[in-house]
Amino acid sequence: MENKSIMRATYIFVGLFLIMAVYFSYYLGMKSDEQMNNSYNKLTGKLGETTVRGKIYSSDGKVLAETVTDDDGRERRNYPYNELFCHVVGTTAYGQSGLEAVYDYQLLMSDSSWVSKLFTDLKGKKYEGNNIITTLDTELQKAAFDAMSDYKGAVVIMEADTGKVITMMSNPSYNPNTLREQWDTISADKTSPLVNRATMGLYTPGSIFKLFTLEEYLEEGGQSSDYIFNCTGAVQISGKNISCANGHSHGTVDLTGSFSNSCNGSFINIGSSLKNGSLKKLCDRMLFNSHLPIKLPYNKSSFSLADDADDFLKAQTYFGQGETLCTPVHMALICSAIANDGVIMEPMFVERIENAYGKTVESFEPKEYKTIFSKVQAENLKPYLRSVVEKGTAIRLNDFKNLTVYGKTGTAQTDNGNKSNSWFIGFFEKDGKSYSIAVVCEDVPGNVSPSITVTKDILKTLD
Amino acid sequence: MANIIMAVIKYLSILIVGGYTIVSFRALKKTTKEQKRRFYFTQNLLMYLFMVISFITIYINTMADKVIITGGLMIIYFIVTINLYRLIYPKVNRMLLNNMCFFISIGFVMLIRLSYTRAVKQFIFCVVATTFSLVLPWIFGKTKTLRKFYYLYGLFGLALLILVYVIGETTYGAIISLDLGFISIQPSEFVKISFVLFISGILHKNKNFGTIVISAVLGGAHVIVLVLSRDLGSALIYFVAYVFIIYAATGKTIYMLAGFASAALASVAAYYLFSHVQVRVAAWYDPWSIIDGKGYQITQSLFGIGMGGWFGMGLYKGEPAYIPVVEQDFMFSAIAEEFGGFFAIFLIMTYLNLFIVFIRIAFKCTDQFYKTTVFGLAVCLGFQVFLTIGGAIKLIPSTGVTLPLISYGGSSVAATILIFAIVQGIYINEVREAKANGK
Repeated sequence: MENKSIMRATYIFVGLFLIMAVYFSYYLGMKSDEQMNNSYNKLTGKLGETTVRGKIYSSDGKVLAETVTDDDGRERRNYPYNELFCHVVGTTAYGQSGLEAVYDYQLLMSDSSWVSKLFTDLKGKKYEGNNIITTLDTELQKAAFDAMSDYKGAVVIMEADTGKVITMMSNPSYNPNTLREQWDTISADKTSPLVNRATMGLYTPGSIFKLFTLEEYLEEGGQSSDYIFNCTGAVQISGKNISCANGHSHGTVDLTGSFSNSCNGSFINIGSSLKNGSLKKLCDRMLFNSHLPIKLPYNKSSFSLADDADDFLKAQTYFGQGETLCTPVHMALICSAIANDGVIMEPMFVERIENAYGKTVESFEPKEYKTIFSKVQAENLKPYLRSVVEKGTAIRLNDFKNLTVYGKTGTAQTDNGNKSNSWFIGFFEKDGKSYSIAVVCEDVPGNVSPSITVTKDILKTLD
Repeated sequence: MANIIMAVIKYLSILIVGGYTIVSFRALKKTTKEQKRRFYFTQNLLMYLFMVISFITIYINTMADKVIITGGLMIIYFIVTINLYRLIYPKVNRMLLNNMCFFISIGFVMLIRLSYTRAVKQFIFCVVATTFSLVLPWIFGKTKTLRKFYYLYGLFGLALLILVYVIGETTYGAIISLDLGFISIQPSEFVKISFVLFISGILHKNKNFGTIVISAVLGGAHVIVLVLSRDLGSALIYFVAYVFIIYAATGKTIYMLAGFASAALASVAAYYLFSHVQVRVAAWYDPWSIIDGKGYQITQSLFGIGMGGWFGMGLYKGEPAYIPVVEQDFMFSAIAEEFGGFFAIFLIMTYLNLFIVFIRIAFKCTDQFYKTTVFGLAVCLGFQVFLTIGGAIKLIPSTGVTLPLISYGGSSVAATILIFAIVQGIYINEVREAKANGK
């Protein structure tokens, strides 16, 4: 028995204890912060007892959400814009939703210096939580809200090269300031005002899907110069009649004309020439049936077309009827990619987090998510989208002074053709910057296309 | 007003425990007797202060008079324990005594905050165990024949563990307790002591290869029964204690290497053989992907630590009970959550200080049997601290062992108090006597 070996063993244990202390400090100092924002972390609820929840700002410096203390000392969350941001900013009035839920932990954290915290403690006051500065623009949000006032549906506008979400609205809406009192009525409302249709709404795409059929045709080597189709206003598939919008005959159309005038017959023709299974492959690449990099709750768009599906279903799928479903935010991301050399940027809702004294605690950089087109493919699509506005179904969007608009319209039949969803997806260029946009108006009667009017009303504020 | 008092107390607690840690380390240095006495006095003073201010916070939050009474009784218990020890054994090791009381006091405070009834139970266990522990050093002084019965310790301990395996009760998936009708005990906590005595005894007799093989067979049997009982934490503690004692007694590195090589093999085998081992490893490797299942406990622990931050959420401002089995296995996280990261680091350092105090006593022992015994018990305690804190902070897979003297558990706290009493007995009779005899 030697003291020497005891000494060696002791060094091992001293080492173990120091490792514990160092790892613990490392965890607390460097690692724990990012893990705290988790729905399983019920302790965030406790933070409210020591911290006043921070504010949420728009990118133009307006307060979108704040905590006010009433005369009797009770805290209350106030939303100065009422229903305007109810889905995207969300609320803490009844459970949590929107950015309020996603950034719950950050809003309840107080990143002021420990000295000022100490003084706050000693004064017996609560800490002031961090503020988050969003990418949302109040003017454009307001414009979208007003333009959509007559329609159920959603609008998403994003900066293509950064993924910043500038506008996200959904109608019908609710007033988060009074949600608690009106909960029973609002939650039972059949039109689902609580649902954020921009990310959750699954819509039949209608003719906007022709974008994907076209892309697959081009990728398989289809040339615009070779293509000619004679539209008689309707085609017969498996004994059933499929007509163009309003039974209108487009006559002889080339590829651009088929797209800009949204000729169903021509796209059935194009779709039939595609390789078996290829459209499914393309749609998987286009993030159908796939996760999206969005922090808010969302639904996955879905595309399915079995190789042995019957001809009628196949034909319908080619021009956007069939079983395909997609969300507005997904379509905005696709259009962002076309405007941004084929790269999808992760949608950003928050630019930075500041402490109560305006000092930046964390700022977020744009992040590439996925490249879904090659640069050439993205460039090749642009003339087609532009032709829709220049001489096609969205010609009413061609008279802006400072904006150049690209896009595709869609009118998706629902309810056995009695009603339809009106779509406009695309992007616009302003001062050398590109912004994607997706607009959908639900359950509009017959064949009117209010989405173009809505888009026009919104973009007017930027022109 | 109450908020301000609680805020002051929150920061004061950190300062007090920080002060305690610093004083404890300074007291390890060579200084005058007078200076040491002052250090010991400061240690006690800080502990009482910590208890008083903690009970103020507890009272503010509960407004229960019984808390004040219990708190008062607890403080009296410490005053009596410390002074009775000093009275009966003038040569008592004050560092050992003060540290023991310090950890118990933190345990009391945290337990009252978590569960009043459990705190009271723990208090009773401590009083009983401390009373019993007061006579142990005296017994050590009277007899030197304890070491002769080492086979008895080894066989009796093993028999007890087997008994638990056969008729024991299952707690959180492990077969660890014996229900005696009026009380339920966890023998593996006590067998730890007989195990160390056995290994020390057999090595004291003889250190040749044959003896080591015998010790390995009997020691290994302990470990295997524990693994079969799914008491992984204890199995690891026994194993590590065995390897370190053999190493310290023989001075041969080869035994240590052989020990850890076989441990590595055994771990791999255990991983493939036992699903509960796989579960622990999975919960450690990536708890976030199984947060609603096997990863729930460890992630709740991490939430507690992270939300506590450096200064803590404050006593009663957190919710440590969100962590399943917090009073037994995750007291460290509960402390970090409400008292904060600085406090928690001071606690780790104080445990290290305690370990060093143990080792110093082992160093000074001239008697080989006592030397190995103290060293072995030090390794048991030190490794137990590593397992429980390491598990709580996700440094290693969680093994479900208690934080010595702080976690709730009668057997655990009583066995630890006994360990302190044994080391105290060895110190008083061996080290101080040897000094007195001028050796």
